[in-house]
Amino acid sequence: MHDAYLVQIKHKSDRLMNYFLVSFFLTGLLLALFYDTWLVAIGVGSLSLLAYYSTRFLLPRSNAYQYMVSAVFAIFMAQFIYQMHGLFEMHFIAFIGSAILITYQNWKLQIPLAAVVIVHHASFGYLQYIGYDKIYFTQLDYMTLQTFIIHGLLATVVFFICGLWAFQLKKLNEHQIEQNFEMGRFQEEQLQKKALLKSNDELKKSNKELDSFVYSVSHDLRAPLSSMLGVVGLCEMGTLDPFMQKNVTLLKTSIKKLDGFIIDILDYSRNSRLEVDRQEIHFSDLLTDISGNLKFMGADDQRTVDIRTTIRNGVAFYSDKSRIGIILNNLISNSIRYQNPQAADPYVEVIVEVSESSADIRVRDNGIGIDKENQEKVFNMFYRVSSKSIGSGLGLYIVKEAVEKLQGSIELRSEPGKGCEFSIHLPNLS
Amino acid sequence: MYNGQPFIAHPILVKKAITIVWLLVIFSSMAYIFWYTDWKYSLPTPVPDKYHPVGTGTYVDLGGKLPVPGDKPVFLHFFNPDCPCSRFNIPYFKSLARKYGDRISFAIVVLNNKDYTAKQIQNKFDVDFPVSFDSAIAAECGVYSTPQAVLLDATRRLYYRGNYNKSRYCTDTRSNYAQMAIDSLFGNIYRPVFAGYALKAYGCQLPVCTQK
Amino acid sequence: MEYKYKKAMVIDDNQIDLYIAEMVMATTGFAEKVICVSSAKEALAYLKPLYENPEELPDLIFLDINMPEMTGFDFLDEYQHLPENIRKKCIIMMLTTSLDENDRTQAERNQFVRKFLNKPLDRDKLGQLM
Repeated sequence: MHDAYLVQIKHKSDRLMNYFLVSFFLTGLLLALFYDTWLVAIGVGSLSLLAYYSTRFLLPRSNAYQYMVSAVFAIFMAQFIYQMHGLFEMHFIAFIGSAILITYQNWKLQIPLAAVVIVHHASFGYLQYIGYDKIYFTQLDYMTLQTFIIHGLLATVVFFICGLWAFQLKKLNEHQIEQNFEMGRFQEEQLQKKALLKSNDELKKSNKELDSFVYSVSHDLRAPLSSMLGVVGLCEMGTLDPFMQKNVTLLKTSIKKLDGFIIDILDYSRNSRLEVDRQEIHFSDLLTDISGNLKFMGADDQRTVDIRTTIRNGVAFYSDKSRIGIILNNLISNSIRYQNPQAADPYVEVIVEVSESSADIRVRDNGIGIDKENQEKVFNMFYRVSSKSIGSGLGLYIVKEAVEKLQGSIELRSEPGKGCEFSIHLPNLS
Repeated sequence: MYNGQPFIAHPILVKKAITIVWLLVIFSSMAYIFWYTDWKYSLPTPVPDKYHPVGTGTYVDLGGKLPVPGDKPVFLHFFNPDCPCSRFNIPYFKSLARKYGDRISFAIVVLNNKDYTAKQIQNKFDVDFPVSFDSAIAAECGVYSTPQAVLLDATRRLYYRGNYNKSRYCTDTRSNYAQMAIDSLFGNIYRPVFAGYALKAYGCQLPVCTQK
Repeated sequence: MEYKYKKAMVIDDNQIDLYIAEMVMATTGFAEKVICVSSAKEALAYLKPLYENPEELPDLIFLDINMPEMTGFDFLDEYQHLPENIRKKCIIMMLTTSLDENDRTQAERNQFVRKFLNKPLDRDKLGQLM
């Protein structure tokens, strides 16, 4: 962007120079009317323009031609003074030239102008001083060294100020460009931020809506299922016929399976869409509730599984209550479902250790276990180990998702026939 | 740097060299023009063929061509409006006239083929001196270029005929010859010896300037 | 048959669920008489005039949450404006399919709700209450 700006300045200034140089040339012609100095006016004037345009043509990529303008201004000044036979006021052409050069915003361009003027004055003044007759330089009485110095200083001041302004102008414009650039970038950033926030809000909103939807749907699906279970329960109570009882049992199993699946879907939706709701976790209460709910969960032909809990509290533990509930619920119900019929005393043990930085939860059972091959796959969505598996295949997937949402980790150690141990590490969100 | 290869001129360097040489040519031409014009200016006016020199002390008979009072010295300014040197001289002559106007009678002799009225000439100088268009006066004074200064003393004898200054466009007060002539006339000091620069007339030829 | 409670009331908009509750309570000997109403409005209409006749008030009220017009919680809001002798007599159980944590917390916070139960009502659940 800076380069484009420099090119712009160059072009603008070059166009201006064309006008100025032509004006100077025409001024020379005008001055020739006074004392018939046509040869000088046309000769030197056109040679000056030739010098400038040649440099521009031969070295287009360099800015040497700009320095040539500076020198040409000095030459025009000398030409005008000569044409008017020493009219001192023509010296002001040098100052005009100095001011014109500001447009290039390059203080160095003052140098050729100053140099030509100084060298010209110095050499001619010196020659006159030593009495060299052939050159008539000044029309004043005579140019003393003192006068020369004063004039030189004043001219230098003018050149210096013009150079300074050129420099300041450049700096100011550079600064302006940078600021504009920064401003532009800042505004863009702001816009992006705004857009991001907006899309974030929209996402949150749609997440909430989706969750609401899933909840409503699941509720409407479960209501008739619970009615069905109730009626099936009545059938169970109302018959002693083993055939009917078997049918009823099968019916119950299917309905419970369907219900369990709907609950899993709801858990999954909740976990993936809702924000983590940080609150203090009371593991004992939580586990009591879960145990209460799951005590009668198992299939009727299975024995009741003993749910043992050991909680070692130290510090308050903060995390998302519902997700932890889901995790524990799924793991414990898995242990109940997959109990070992050979084991004398089927149990699932939950050990919780809370520290300031984290909570370590271990869910250990003596169920049928999971073989090495399947240990990685059980966490996959809808993966069921065998056709005898009762669950939906979502349970452990949801557990893993919930653990990850809480920025924790989960590990499985198991030996077929011996049991499973799930180790969960959750950071304390205090 | 080039590992034994012959030096291959980079195109940019070649261009730069060409530019520098070309610019030097241009600047030399400029210098030449200035020098040439200056040289031209330093040349004296060529003496016309039938020139009849008039020495100092000669009686110049104005013959009533110029209505000048008889008792004061007369200063004749030979002027040609078309001559640039004459034009350049105008302010200087005006200052001279203002300075000595009460002690000397000034008059302007216009040497030109075109038609100017006396009023026009007087307006150029912003004065009311008598103006003559008679070129015979120039021959009588021995003047063959413009601008020239001729100083006649009270007895109408030629006291000074020559240039105003060292060269056409010079205004150095140390070589204000015409003024020096006036001063010496009034100061009655030994008339300074005017040599070369003062007496060798420069300026425009009469009546039409071919060499300026 | 010995009944645990003389009278129980079930408030539920679902006819089948009312039927289930009634049957289960009857066959398990839980309550001698079961009043079934299908809206909270009807329940209030039934209860209000009984403040003069407190022996006729139900011992237990099983309250569903999700009902049109007036939800279970709306009923509880109205319930607290009932005369004290009614409120003292009746024990309210929340009975619902809701899995929503907020429902559970709100119910448990309410001073009148004794327990929060999941449908369907069955012998084991009633056994817990006896």
